[in-house]
Amino acid sequence: MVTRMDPELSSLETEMNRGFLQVLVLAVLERRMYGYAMIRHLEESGYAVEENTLYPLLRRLEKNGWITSEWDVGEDRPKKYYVITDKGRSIRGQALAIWAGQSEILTKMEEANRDV
Amino acid sequence: MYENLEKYLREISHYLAVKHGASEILAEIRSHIIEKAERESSPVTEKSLQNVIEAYGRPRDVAAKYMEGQEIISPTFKKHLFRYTTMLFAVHFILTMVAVYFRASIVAIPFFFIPKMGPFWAIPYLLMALAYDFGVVAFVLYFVTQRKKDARLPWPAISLGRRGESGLKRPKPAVLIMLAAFFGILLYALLRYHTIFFYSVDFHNPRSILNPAASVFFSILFLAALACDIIGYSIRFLFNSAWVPLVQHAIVLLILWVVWNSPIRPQYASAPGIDLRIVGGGFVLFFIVLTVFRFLRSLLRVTREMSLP
Repeated sequence: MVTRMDPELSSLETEMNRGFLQVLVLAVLERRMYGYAMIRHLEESGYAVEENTLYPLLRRLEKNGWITSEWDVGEDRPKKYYVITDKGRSIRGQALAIWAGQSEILTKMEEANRDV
Repeated sequence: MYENLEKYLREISHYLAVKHGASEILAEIRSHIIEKAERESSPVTEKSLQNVIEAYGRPRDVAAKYMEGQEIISPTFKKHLFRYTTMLFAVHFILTMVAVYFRASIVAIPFFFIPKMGPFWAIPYLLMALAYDFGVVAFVLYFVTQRKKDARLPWPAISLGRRGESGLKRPKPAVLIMLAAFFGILLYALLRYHTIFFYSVDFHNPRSILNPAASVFFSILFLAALACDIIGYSIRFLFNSAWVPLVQHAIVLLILWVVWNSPIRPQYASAPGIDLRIVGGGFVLFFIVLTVFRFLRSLLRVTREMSLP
């Protein structure tokens, strides 16, 4: 039986994914990779990302200087490869620290709620 | 070369408004779609390509995702857009009235070009001027957004009520009584002295500003305008909508148009120390300015009443 996600929960998930996907891409791009390969890699890891979401995100991250890109025209068709920059690594580290802090707060709240 | 893919990319390109790298974006999408189609069915057919294209999304949506955060005008300037337009139009309106009164052109390029015209043509001209003023303000806000979208712009306070409300106050019986009493006095004066435009308040020997024919004609029109106000105000006790004053002021504007274009040319009396032509012309001009201002305010209230809360 297929269970359909609540539309409100789906909207919340989209909001949560917005930041998560940025950090995830910064983590994936420790290895030089092009867009379609990245989508497949993420899918194999259990995370489905829409292609028309990923490419604009890559462009924004590149504009911020967090990743860099270059075209490889040596293969059968040109592909744009991306890789993280030092600035991107620094941002990723800080983002993960924020995330850990948020997670810790949520854990504390959960524990406090057990007595309610 | 796949015709359906190229057509799809042309569609995206049509909506894609980025400063740099549009061709790179399209090349990347092309490469992605072909590779995905190859993985799903080899050799690639138009049909398999079409399936991948459809999964990629509508061209408009795809382009929009590249432009997130690149507003034409920042949403925080929405209220400024309307308020600044109102202020600019107020200046435009006053200058138009001056141009009509003096039958002259007013040129202040690139801000204004008000041609010589009569009051009738001033109405369509003002509607055009409103669209122009809106465009000018939008143009300025566009540049502010592109340069510094978090700029803090001056904010003059004008109370017009909340969205979804016209901001129209409830009518008061005392005001209606005063208006009706005023109308009664003027009607009495007209019936007794055949005029309501006096320059002498001597009840035994009142003198009209105008010659007798013009006195009666213009007095009747003025009373008709006042009656229109009273009827409109009375209707608001039952139906307090911004549409009522809008229609009311439109009718008064029509009466003023008749006054301005009337075949009866007023002849002014002569009074020592006063130029009655200036007094009469000034009165009509003031009345026109006041009525158009009230008409435009009603128009704004109607748009606010019609907008969603």
